[in-house]
Amino acid sequence: MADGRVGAWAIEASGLTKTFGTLTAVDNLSLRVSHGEIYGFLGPNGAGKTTTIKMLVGLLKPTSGTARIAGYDVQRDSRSAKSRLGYVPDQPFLYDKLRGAEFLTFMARLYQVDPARAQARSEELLRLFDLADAADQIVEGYSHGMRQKLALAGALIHRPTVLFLDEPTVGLDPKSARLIKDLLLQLRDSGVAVMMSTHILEIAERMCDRVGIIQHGRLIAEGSLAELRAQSQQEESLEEIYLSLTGGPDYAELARVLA
Amino acid sequence: MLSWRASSPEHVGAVTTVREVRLLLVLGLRLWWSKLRRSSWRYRLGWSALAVLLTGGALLFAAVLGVIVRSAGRLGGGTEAVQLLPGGLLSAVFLFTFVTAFGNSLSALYLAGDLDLLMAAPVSPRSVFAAKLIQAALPNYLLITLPLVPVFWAYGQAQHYGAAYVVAFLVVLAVLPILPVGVAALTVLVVVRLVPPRRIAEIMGLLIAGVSISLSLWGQSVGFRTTRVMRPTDILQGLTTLDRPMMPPSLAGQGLVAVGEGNWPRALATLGIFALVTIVGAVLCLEAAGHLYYVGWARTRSGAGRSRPRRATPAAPGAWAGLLSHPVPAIVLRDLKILPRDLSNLIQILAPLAFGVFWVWQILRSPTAPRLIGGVFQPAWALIGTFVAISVANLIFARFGLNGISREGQAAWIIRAAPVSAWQWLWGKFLVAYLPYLALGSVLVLALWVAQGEDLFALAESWLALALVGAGVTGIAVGIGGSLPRFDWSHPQQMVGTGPGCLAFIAYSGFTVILLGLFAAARVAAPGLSLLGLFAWSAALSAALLVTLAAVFIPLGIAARHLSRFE
Repeated sequence: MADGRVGAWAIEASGLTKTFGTLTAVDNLSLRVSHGEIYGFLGPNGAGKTTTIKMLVGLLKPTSGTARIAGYDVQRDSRSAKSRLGYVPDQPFLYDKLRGAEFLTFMARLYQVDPARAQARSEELLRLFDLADAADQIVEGYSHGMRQKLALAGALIHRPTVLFLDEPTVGLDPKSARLIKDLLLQLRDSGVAVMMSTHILEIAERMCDRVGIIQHGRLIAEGSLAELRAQSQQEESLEEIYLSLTGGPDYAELARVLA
Repeated sequence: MLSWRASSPEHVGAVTTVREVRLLLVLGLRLWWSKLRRSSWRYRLGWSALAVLLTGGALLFAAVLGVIVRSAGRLGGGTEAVQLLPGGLLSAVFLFTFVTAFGNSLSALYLAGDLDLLMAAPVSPRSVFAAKLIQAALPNYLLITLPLVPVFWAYGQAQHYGAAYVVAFLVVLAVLPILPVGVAALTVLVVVRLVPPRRIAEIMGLLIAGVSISLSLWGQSVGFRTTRVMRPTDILQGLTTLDRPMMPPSLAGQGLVAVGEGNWPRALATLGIFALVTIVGAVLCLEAAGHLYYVGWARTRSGAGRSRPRRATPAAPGAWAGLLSHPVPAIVLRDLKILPRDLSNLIQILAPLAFGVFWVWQILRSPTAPRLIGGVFQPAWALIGTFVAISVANLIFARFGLNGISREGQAAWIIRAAPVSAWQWLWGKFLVAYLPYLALGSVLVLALWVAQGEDLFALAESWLALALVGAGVTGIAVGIGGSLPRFDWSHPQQMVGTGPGCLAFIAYSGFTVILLGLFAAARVAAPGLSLLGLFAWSAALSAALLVTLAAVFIPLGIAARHLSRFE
C-alpha cells in the first residue's frame, strides 16, 4: 500500500506558511505523517486547519515552505502527488445535476481508474455507504449526510494511499459516523495515511495515533496521547490537554450571557 | 451555578395580525436598507440606473396606452369594446400579478431560506405568510400598476367620467392584487409537493423565456408578412378578449364603468361582489397556506425524482474504455450530461437558437445572390450562408465556452484536487463547447449548401471556415472565461462578468471578420486556379490556419497560467 517514493513520508510539510494580505493563516508549520497512521489535526475555529489541509492537497499555494505527498512535491509534481491522495472538504459541494453513480464514474475517470475495476469499486462503495438505492438520484436531492458519504466514496474510488478529511463526521447520523470511523481504522490497517481535522475530541482520542494542535497558524503541540499527557504532566483527557493549551472557556463571560 | 432566565412570553397574545405584519415588513425594510447602505457603489449605481430605466419605461408605456385609449374613445371604436376596456386591463393585471406572484412566492417561501426562522418567532403563521408575500409581490405589482394610473385617468377623461370614478379606480387597483397573490401562494404550496422548488424556478424561467421569444419571433414574422399599421381599436379588441364577465377583475371593470356613468346600484353590486370575493378569497388562501405549511402538508419534494431500480451501466468496449478513462473525455462526458439537465443553461441558448432558426429560414427562402453582387465577387456570396451558419452556431455554443470553467461552481475543488492539469481542464471545456458547435454548424452549412446549389469544393471550403472560426472563437471564449473564473455563482448569468463578456465579444467579432475575410479572399482567388491564384488561395488559407491556432493557443495558455495559480 505504501505507494510512492521509497522511504518517503506519506505526508510531509516543511515550514509551510500562508499569508492572506497582512494575516498569517499558517506560520512555518512542519509535520510528518507515516503510512498506516491516523493523524488528528485539532485547533480552534480559524486556527489554520483548513488552510493547512488545502495547501497539503494542492488547492492553495503556500507563501513559503513545501508540502510532499508520498515523496512528491505537491507544487512541482502535483499530478503524481494528487493521484495518490483523496480529499473530502468540510463542505462537500458536488455536481448537483449528476446522479450518485455518475459522480463516482466521473471520479474514476478523472483518476484514470481502469473502467472494469471502477465499476466494481463504485458498486462496492455505494453499498458500503448505504447509497445504492439513491445511486440513480440526482445529487441535488441528497441530504448533507448523503453528500458527505458520496464525497468520501469519490475520494476512495482510486484507492488513495493518503486521505485528507476536513471535519468528516459533521452532519452525519450516528450510524454513518460509526461507519466512517470503522472504515478509517480499516484503511489505517491497510497502510493508508489519514489526516483529519475534527472538533470532536473524543473521536481524536479514540482513533488517532497522533494528534497535532494548531493555534494562530502554529503547531503548538504534537504527539500521541501518551506523549501529550507526559508533556502536560497532570492532564488526563485530550479535552483537558487541548483546553489547557488553547485556553478554556471563560466561565464569567458565559454566566454574564446566560443570566 | 449558572442560571437561565427565560424571556417573558406575555406580549405574544396581545399583538394583532396587522401589527405583526407591520413589524415584519419594517424589519424587512430595515434589512434591505442596511444591505443597500453597505453595498458597493457599483451595486447602488446599478440599482439607480435600473430604477431610472424602469420609471422611464413605465411612463412611456403609460403615455402610449393613454393615447390609444383616448383616440379609441374619440373614434368610438365600438362602444361595447370601449366599456369592456377597464375589465380587460384589470384582467391582464390580475393574470400578470398571479404569474409574477407565483415566482415571487416560490422565492420568498422556499428559496430564501428564512421561513422557518420566522415561523419559530412569536408571530402567527398567517402574519408571516402575509408579510412574506407582501414583501415579495409588492415591487412587481407597483411596477405593473403605477403606469396604469394615467391610463385609467385618460380613459375617464375620454369617457367624461367624474371624480368618483378616479377614487374608485385607485381603490380597485389597491385591492386587486390581494387575491392573485393569495392564490399564487397556495398554488406554490401544492406544486412544491410534486416538484422540488429549484426545479420549478428553472421550469418557470424556461417558460417565461420561451413565451417572450415566441412573442418576439411572432412580431418579426408578422412584420415580414404584413405592412398594415395596427390601429388603437385593434389593441382595444385584443385587451377586451381578456374580459371574462364573472371573474373578479371583470366585475371591478364593470363597477368602474358603472361609477363613471352614475349607475350606483350596479356599481355597488359589482364592486361589492368584487371586494367580497377578493378579500374573503385572499384571507382563505393565506389561512390555508399558513396552516398547510404549519402542519407539514406542504413539505417540499427534496429528491429530484422517484427512486428507481439500479441500472447496470453498460461497459464501454475495450479501446473506448481506455480512451474514456482520461480526464479530458471525463470532463466532456460529465458536462454533456449536466448541461441539458440544468434548465437554466437551456434558457441561455433558447433566444440564440430561436433567432438562429429564424434567420436560417430567411436565407433558405431566398438563397440566390442579389443582382448587384456579380462578377469576380459572385463566388464569395456563398460565404454569406457560411457566415450565417457560423454565427448561429457560435451564438448558441460560445457561451458554453465562456462560462465553461466557471460552471464548475463551488464543486471546482473536485477537479483542482485531482491529478488534472490546467490544460486538460481547459481542453475538456473547449471540446464541450466545440463539438456541439461543429455538429450544429455542419448541419446548417450542409442545408445552406443544398439551398444555394454550390459545388462540392465550396462545401469543403465552407466547412473548413466553420471548423476554423469555431475553434478560434471557442479558444477565445474558454481562454477569457478561464482567466477570470467566478466559482461563487448561483445562476449561469452570473458566471461571467460584464468586462470579460464584452472583451470576449470584441475578440470573437474581430477574429471572425479576419478569418472570413481570408476565406473570402481565397474564394475570389480560387476560380482561375492560375499559378498566382493558387498561391493566393494557399496563402489565404494558411494565414487562416495560423490565425486560428493563435486564437486557440494564446488565450488557453493565458488561462492555463491563471488556473494553475488560482486559489
